[in-house]
Amino acid sequence: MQIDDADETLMLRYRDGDAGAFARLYARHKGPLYRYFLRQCGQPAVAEELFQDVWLKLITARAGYVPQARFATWLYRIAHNRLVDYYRASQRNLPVSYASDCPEWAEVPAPVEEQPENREDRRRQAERLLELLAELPEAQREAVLLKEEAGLSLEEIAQTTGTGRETVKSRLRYALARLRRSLGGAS
Amino acid sequence: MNDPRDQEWQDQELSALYQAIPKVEPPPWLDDRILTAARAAVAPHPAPTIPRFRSFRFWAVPVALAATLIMAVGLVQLTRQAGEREPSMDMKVQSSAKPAAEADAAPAGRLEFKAADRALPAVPPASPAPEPSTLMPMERRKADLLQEAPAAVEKETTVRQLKAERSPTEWLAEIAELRQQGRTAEAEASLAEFRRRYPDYHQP
Repeated sequence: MQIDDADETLMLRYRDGDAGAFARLYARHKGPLYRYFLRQCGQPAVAEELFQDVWLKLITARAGYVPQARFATWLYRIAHNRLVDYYRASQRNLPVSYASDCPEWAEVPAPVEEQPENREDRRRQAERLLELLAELPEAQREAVLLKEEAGLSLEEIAQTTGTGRETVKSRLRYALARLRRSLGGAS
Repeated sequence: MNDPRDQEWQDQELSALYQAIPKVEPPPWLDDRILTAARAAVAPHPAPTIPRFRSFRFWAVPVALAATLIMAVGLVQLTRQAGEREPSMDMKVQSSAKPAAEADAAPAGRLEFKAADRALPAVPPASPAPEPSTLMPMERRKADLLQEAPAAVEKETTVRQLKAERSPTEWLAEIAELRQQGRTAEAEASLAEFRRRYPDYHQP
């Protein structure tokens, strides 16, 4: 990615009135952000609402944008905060898995799953992974999504979610271990 | 990433499997809505539209209040003028006879008018001629005419009396003089009057 095409440059250009720069930025991030919400909430209607809220908030906040970190970190920070607000506003409170010292992470029993009959059927495996992902505790799932969809590093995930680097690493470690186990020792 | 502990939190095979999941995208209508909002946020707004709307909204209430106030003041003034104009003649007449204490106690024209009404008799006598300077132009003209009328009647009566006191010969001489002066109409009128007064008089 060239400097002129970097997310931060595009956002600065949009801040200065270039709507075309926003369109490129949106095209680059819309899919990962939408899937982040869709897989965290599981309901397309909710995902669409939260997705729209984040972009509108970004549009509103454009005048004060200063590139102090990667654009993706800023974008997903907004998304994480919106997600937490959604959890708090919905009938359930913030999931307990978001506690940085959540003790039950290791004890969360992995669902007993049958081995896929056809390991070569990668598409079915992927679909199975998606189902397993939905069964993860929210904080672990978010860490996986931020890593896989947004491409954030450990430090960036920590910045985005407002937690420490080691907490993020623990969440990812437990999430991957559970996924491997449920997939029948994949990897 | 050669640290074996890193393998605990990242798994390339799982990552590859995750990337094989079909990529779900937001619906097109949502794309359109967000892109439209983004364009609208940075588009230069036509200056006259929003400020004019805001200006109208901003001034609507003050203008309405001002209009209401002006109408109210106008109505009050009209009502007051109408109330003052109708009883003006009577009030002027009564005010001269009213005690000073009562006049001081009456704070406004309306109260003064009511006091004058109470003081007026049921059938007012012929009021004296009002002072011309205290009346409105039309009323002043009427008063002038009323003042001038008795004098005119008196003058006409005097002429008639003078004419009646003349001798027939002198009257006929005056008629002849009027004819000589070309005042034919006056001469004819005077002659008719002469004939009415002296029907048996034979002109020479």
